[in-house]
Amino acid sequence: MTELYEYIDNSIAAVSDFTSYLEGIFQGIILSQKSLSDFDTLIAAEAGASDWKDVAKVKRFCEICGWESSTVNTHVKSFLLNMDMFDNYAVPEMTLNTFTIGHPAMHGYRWAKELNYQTVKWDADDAFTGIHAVLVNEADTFYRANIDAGTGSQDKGGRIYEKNQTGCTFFDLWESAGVASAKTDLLQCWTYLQTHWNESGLNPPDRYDYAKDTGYDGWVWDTPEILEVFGRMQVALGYPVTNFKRIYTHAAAGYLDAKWASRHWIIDGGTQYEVCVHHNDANSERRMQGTFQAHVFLHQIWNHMTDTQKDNYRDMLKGTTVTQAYQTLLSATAGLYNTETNAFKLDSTDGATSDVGTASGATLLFLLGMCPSTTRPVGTLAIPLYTQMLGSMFMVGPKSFRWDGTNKKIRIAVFSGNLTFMYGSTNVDHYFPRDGVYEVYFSEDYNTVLNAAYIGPLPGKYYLDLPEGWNQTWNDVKRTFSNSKMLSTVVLRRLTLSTQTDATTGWYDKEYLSDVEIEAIITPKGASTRILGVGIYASKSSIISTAYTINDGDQIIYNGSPHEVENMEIIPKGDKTLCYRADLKMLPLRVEA
Amino acid sequence: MSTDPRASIKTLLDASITDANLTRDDAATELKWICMYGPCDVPLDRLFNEKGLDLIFTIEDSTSAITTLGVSHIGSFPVKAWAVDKYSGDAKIITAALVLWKATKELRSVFLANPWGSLRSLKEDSVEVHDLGSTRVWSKNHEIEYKTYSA
Repeated sequence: MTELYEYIDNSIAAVSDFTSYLEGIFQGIILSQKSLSDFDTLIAAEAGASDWKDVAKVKRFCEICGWESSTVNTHVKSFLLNMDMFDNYAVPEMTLNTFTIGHPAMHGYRWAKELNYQTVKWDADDAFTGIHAVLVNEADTFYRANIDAGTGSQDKGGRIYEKNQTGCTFFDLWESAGVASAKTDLLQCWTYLQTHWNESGLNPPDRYDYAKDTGYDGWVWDTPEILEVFGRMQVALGYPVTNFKRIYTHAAAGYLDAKWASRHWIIDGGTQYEVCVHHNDANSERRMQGTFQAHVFLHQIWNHMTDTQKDNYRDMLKGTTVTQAYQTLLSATAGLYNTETNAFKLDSTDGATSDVGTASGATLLFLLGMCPSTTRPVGTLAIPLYTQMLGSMFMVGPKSFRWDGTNKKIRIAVFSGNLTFMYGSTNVDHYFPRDGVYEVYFSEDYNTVLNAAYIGPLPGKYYLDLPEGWNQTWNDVKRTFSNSKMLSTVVLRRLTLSTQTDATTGWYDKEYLSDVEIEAIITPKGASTRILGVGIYASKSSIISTAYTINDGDQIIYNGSPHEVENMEIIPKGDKTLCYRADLKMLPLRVEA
Repeated sequence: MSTDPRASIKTLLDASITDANLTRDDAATELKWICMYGPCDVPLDRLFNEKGLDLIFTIEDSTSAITTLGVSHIGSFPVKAWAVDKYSGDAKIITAALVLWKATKELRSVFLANPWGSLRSLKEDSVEVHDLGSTRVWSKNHEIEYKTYSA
């Protein structure tokens, strides 16, 4: 019997070209077929073809993957110089008189500042004025606009897609380009999205409907992008927005309550496809992107599911009483996989399989090999909230996730706890002691985890479940110190104690975990600070206040010197932890022999 | 190489302490205890919290003096007992002060039952409380004194 790991490796082998297109390189890095430097070749090719929009796209994905180079910067400058703009506003003109929503070119305002190049042309405030005027004029979101004319267009009376990606545009203007007013328009997009809630008048309501025109209610494949855009908005705002729980209600009815018979996986009264259909109940096309987004979405909202919903999703991932999730992707009913060639289509209606479909399929198979365990504490995959353009699968990125079939090794980002891996003939659990990115090494048959090494903190900025070290009050506290030298990035070395004691002394063997960078407010001796009205004055070398968990005995490297954490106290605000505060005692200089 | 003088005390305590005498407040569940050299090289609160220890004995460095009054050597070893209050939900299941009292009784029993070397006495200090940030640790020092006569 072919095991999941073999399906993944076989599909990777079926991709003939990982090089000449953006998704190929992106997923090629995830699948250990390409390297980050391959972005240089691609961006040069796009610039050579004067395809400035695609230069922007490549640059954005370099950022997501953590790749910087002089080649990239050179071509980004060319993009900033050559990108056509509307006559009256500093907004990229994607095609003649047309602006399209959710495009990575919206990061150009930030890139211009970072490179100190073409900053007059890339005036973010002016761009906001133009796009805002269209939103006001239309009193709705839009999928394209003539910014000079102040007009936009809707399709099918306005789709969820238009709410999402217009929202994404304002999000980028707000968070990337730094236009504060864009936040209000982003919230307005969320308000417009609510007009899709229960458009079809169900009682009780259970979904966001596809579009406003008659015949376009029902379940549409790209609904998870609501979470990617507006979940990110909520995290950035730092407070819950009204009606946010509707997303979870939609998820339950759409993906979970009836397992594979839930509404996104079927055509009502018709076939149960077990992968995401385009539009239940009017378009039975099965979509790789919709299926990919659905599973990412379900992992992202895991901690917001009821216990029954969690059990249902576990059953779907593990194949308990229903078809196992990865098998659904391979099934003839789904119509996405060619059993002869191990290649995938992006859509069931595609004439043939494709490299981009196969690379996406292999990446999704990799994702479907992991499941929150039934053993407590339960761990989950840490997938950041992200979308860029319709159908984005880029939330699963190579900083957090990689498959290395040659070395039987994967990279995953987790919220701490137990996860189940299902790549071999036997499922295997592993406990991850803290949030972060790990490299997990398997035995030859993937039935045993040989080792899991922590390699760093979670790389994303926006997670629905916030990583360690994040809370809104702390963010507010931090802001008051943002212009002070007291707000520092320091290195934390966490102390762990082995299970063994020394036979002579009785002491536990000590080990320090890998260095982790954390933000902290350091109050040196002689200075004083007030955090939420509490005065602090250091009696030892200094005092550290941080939202990251620290413990007595941990080491902090600050100003190049190691310090030991002493007398840690938890500082509460209400019934929550605001931060951890402790004395820092500078350690004596190490004497080398 | 000479043996660290703390070694023989640690060996004695490890071998002689009766687990059943060191119990939680319910007088039935045995405490998890350990004996180690002092001063401990990691913060004690880590051991109570992470290792689940309920009682720690630390054998501190010895002090000694030479006398000419028919005795060649007077030495003393501080043995400190450390404990913290522990809870299960809202219910207190371990009271540090009671644990220290049980520890003291056990040390008395051990040294009475195991006369070692020359003349020995056991002096006890009062309980101290140490605030370690978010953890409060209770300790009690026991000074074991011995005298070695001239050959």
